[in-house]
Amino acid sequence: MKYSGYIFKIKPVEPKFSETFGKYKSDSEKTRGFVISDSTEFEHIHPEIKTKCLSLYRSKSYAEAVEKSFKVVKDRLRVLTSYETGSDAFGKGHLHVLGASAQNVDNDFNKAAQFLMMAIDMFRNEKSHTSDAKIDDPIRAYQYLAMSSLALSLLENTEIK
Amino acid sequence: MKTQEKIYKVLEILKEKSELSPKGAVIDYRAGEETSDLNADEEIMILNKLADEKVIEVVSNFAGDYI
Repeated sequence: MKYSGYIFKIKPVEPKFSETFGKYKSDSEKTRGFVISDSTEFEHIHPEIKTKCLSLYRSKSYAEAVEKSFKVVKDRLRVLTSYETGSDAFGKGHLHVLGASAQNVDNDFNKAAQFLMMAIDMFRNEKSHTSDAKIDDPIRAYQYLAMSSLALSLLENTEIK
Repeated sequence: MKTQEKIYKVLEILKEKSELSPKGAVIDYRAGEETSDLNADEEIMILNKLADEKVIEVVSNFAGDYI
C-alpha cells in the first residue's frame, strides 16, 4: 500500500473520477434497491413527517427520526379521538377511516388501518426500550418513515361513528 | 456492507467536497474522521485503490497534523 497516513490531500482526476463515481453509484443502487441521497426522495413522505423528521434523518439520527414519526401518528390519533393508541382510537374512540375501495370491504379497510396504527404502537414501544433502537441503516429508517407516512395519510380522511 | 458500497461511500464524500470547492482545488480527506461509517484503515485502503486506478491524485499524505 503506497499511502498509509490518515490525512490525504487529494485531487479528483477528471473525467475518470466522474465515470467511476457513476459506475459505483449505479452498482450501489442495484445492490441496495435504491439510495436515499437527498431530500427529493422525501417528496412522497407526508409533509408533517417530513417537517418533523427530515432534519433528524439528515443528521443520521435515524432512530430518533423514526421514533418521532411514530409520535406524530400518535399525536394525530389523540387529536382525532382523544386516545393515542390504535386499538383505543378505533375501539373506544369509534374512529372510522374513509376511503375504502368499495362498501363491502370497508370493514377490511378499517381493520387494516387499525392494525397499521397498532403496529406503529408496538414498534414504538419496542424501540423506546433501547437507546439506539437498532436502526443504523438509512433505508430501513426510511421504510419506517414511509409506514408512518401512510398511517398519517389515512388519518386525514376520517370520521367518528 | 459490501466492498462496492464502501468504495461508493468514499467516492460520495469526495464528490461532495469537490463540488463545494473551487474547480481544481485540493481536497482534504481525513481517514476515520469523515462521515462514511467506515474505519480509517478501510478508507485508506480505498483511497490507495482509487489512486492506483488514477481516479484520484494524492498530492500529499500525512500521518497527523503535527510532523
